[in-house]
Amino acid sequence: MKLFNTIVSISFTLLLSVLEAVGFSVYSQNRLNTSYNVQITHKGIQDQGKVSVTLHEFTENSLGKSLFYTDIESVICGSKVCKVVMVRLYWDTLGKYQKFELEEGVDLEKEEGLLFTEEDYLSLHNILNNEASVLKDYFKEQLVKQAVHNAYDALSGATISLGNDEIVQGAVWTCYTLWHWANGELVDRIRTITAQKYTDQQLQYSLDCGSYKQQVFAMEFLTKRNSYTKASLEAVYNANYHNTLLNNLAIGYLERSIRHIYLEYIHKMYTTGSKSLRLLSLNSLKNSEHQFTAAYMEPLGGSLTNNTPYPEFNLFLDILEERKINSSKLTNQLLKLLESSNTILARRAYWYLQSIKLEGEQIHKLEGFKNLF
Amino acid sequence: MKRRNFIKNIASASAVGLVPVGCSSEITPTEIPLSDRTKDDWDCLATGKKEIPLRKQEVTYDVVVIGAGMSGIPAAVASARNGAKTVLINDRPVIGGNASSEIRVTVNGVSHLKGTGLPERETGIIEEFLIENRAYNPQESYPIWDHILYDFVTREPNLTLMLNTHAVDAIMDKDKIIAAKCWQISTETEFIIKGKVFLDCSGDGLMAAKAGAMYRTGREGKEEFGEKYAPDQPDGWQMGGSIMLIGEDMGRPMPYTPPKFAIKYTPSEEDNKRRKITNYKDGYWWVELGSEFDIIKEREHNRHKLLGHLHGVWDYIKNSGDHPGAANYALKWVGSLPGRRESRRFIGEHILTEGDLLGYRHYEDAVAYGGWSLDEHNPGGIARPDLPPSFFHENFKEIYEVPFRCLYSKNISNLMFAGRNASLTHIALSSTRIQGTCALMGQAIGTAATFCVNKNMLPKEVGQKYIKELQEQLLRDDVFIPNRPANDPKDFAKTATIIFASSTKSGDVKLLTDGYSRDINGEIHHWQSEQLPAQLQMEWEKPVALSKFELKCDTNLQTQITMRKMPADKSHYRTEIPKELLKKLDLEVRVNGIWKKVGAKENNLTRLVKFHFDTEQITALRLTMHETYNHDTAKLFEVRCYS
Repeated sequence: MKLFNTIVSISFTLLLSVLEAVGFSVYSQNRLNTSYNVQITHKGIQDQGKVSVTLHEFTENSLGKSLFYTDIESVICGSKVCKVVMVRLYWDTLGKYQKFELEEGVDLEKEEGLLFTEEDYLSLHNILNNEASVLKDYFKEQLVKQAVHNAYDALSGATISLGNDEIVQGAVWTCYTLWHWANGELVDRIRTITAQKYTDQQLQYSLDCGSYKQQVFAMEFLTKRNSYTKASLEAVYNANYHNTLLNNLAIGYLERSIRHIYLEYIHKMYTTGSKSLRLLSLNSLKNSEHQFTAAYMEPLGGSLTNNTPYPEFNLFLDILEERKINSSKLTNQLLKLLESSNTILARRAYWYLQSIKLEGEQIHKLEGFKNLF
Repeated sequence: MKRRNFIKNIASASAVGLVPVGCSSEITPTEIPLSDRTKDDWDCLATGKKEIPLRKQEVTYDVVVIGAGMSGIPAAVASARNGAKTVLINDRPVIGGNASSEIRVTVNGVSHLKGTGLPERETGIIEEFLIENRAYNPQESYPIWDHILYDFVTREPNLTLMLNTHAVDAIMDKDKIIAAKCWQISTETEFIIKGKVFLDCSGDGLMAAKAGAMYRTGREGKEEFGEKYAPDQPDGWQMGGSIMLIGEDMGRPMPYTPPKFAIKYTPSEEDNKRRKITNYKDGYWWVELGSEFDIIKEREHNRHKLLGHLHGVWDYIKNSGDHPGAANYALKWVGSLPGRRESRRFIGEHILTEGDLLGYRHYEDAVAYGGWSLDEHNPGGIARPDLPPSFFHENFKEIYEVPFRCLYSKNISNLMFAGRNASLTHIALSSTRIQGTCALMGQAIGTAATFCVNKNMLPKEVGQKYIKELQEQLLRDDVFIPNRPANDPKDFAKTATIIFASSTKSGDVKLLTDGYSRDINGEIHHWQSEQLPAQLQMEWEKPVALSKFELKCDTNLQTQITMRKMPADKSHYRTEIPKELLKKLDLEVRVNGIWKKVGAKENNLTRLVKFHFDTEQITALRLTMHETYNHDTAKLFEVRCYS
């Protein structure tokens, strides 16, 4: 058996010999828990519509962690003919590709009938491990070579080629089909299966103590479940507060909630968040379908100062203008900023104030800046 | 290989109407005007009198462009758009040259760089009509492509198109062309087309040759320019022309009987390894015949032989028994006009060589780029089955520069050229001949011509005194010039106090004014939004008078959008408008504190998007990007503002 996993720092030869000594029995020593039949589409075999796949979940005894695997009849094209090879792909419970295995005595082939080298197998593993590979965006038709001699034909035209980081040269089709197995719809299916075993509380715990990938997983499924209990909301807020990479997901989570929850937590994010989170929160408000009033905006406006970044300040006033929100409190807050040394910020405040109805002293104060802008 | 016996039973050039009948051996053709009709005996029933047909016209333009292929179209459009009254002359009834429905050579460019394996697609005018073709011709019909090009050219207000018109001579004043003498075959009319600048983009370059412009044909020897892929000694070999076909699976057995002029094709096993034949749909570029002496003189002879070779190859496919998979295939279309790779190469101030390309030599006067491989076809084409049809010497790992000095004549002062007849060695031509590269050269000389007209200068003087301004104009018009960031002093975008966006997924809005209009060599020069709609805003501390806003958005230059020969064959090619292209966007400017909408695009089809509006004193500008063709973010590479 050949097995290629993420422990790439181990010498390839050593790794291979160790694993070959274990042999195919690796499977049998593990505890098979459940099997799942799923229907998916695969970009490389789209003409056939949905494909049935059996996913197996098991506990790996040596590490005590759960994994999924499936056996794929992969079409591997060599020199002139294509053959079907059984490839076993493994994922963790979050759907992240882990490794692949071939049956004893089976080798992958490249063009001209050459067998994969040890480096090719490692390259293939690295390619499958790259979720962001450009292979994601290709259609199978773009990978079919038309030219006969790796040359590019001025008249019939070239096909698209890829660099060494993206494919094993001479095995484009193999890399493409296996990448889409490893990183295609099965990933979502595995995540969904896993999520079914987690309670909201466990997901909240993951947000609190988990790795970044576990946090993303938890946020994704709390969103899908419409889980907006206080505990879930606080878990999302706290995770998002401490990791800016989660900001977009957290905003997305809130945007699916009901009005009062949405407004409460957007307020919280704006008033306590980082520069980027404040901007994201205002962007969300600007595009939100929820209604809100001057009373809601007043406390937010209270945090505007001379040092507020101009994009944020501008966005805040855009919201007031587009929603036709104004109040004496907001006006007075903005009148103070007319004296800002930040010219474009002061000017922005002036033009907003000029567009709304002012009273008494407010008018007088604005008049004082009339000739400045 | 011995030179062939020329012209046996094939009609010579004089019989196809290019030179008037009636010239005696004592009188040269130029002594009797092409339009002379004194011998006509015309009983004109319309007037009831004997008439003499008037078949001569004299017209005057600023810029005269000869040849409406992939070089000539961008040259003429660039010239017209930049203000010169321009005429585009084409000797065929359809435009597009080698890319037209008459010939059907794929418009390739920098399609595959070594290392990344990715294209670095040409932008500017060629990008415009390739995208239009994706929009209006999803069925990939070649005749429709012809009309897309026809529309593209004829709708230019400052541009006149003359079809079926062959520039056969030049009228000179010392080293300057005064007029091109042309024969319009459809109207039997001689046109004397006067101009200030003449751009020969015709490939063969008859007019330029008749003007006395220095040119050469054949292969340089190794010694002349130190080219490693050149032959040891110079010789006359020129890459040949090819004739194309389209085969179609008819779903039932299709017999084939070759015509009498078919030339038997009996490849050995080795030959078949060198020349792939199993792609029955797409034709065979290696059905090619070159020449070792005067390829133009041999054209009709070679055309006839090429037709014979084409049918010979198809006869082999259909009737040899070696290709049972082709049983249901039939010829759906065959060309009658060979696509041409090489003939005259005019001599400019600089001759671009293999070393210039492989060394990625930097030129202060770079105006175009290339990057197709050194794809030198063998001497002889299909007549040399023992050789591979192309040597494919070497690929490029990045794009190379093409200098302006190889695009104007060394000895004819107001003559420029672009395409395969530019100032190149044979080996350099093996790469630069690709149509995408030719189009960039064309746009460069078309733009340069307007400098000549506006400043009353010759091309050489433009190159010496205004090369930076010429480059700036090309960059503004969405041509990419390697190692030459834009720095237009008239662009107010760089003076903005702040530029910011509603969200950023990758890149940075500050990069939109860094002078680079694409990501290149691994460097990022873009801003990309998180989602759509997205907004970009610029603010100036003091009001600025603006009337133009221009942006360059994403069309994914690392993909190919060129049309292939097989209509709607989605199993191999994409036919869509680039999904990343901005489709719907609008522009507002802030005047005295009030936002004012000054432009909107509903179904945008260009990478370079221009908004023109009445001049306003503005303090801010806001671009809202609503929609792309099928992508969930917006990506920009450049923004510019002008008064």
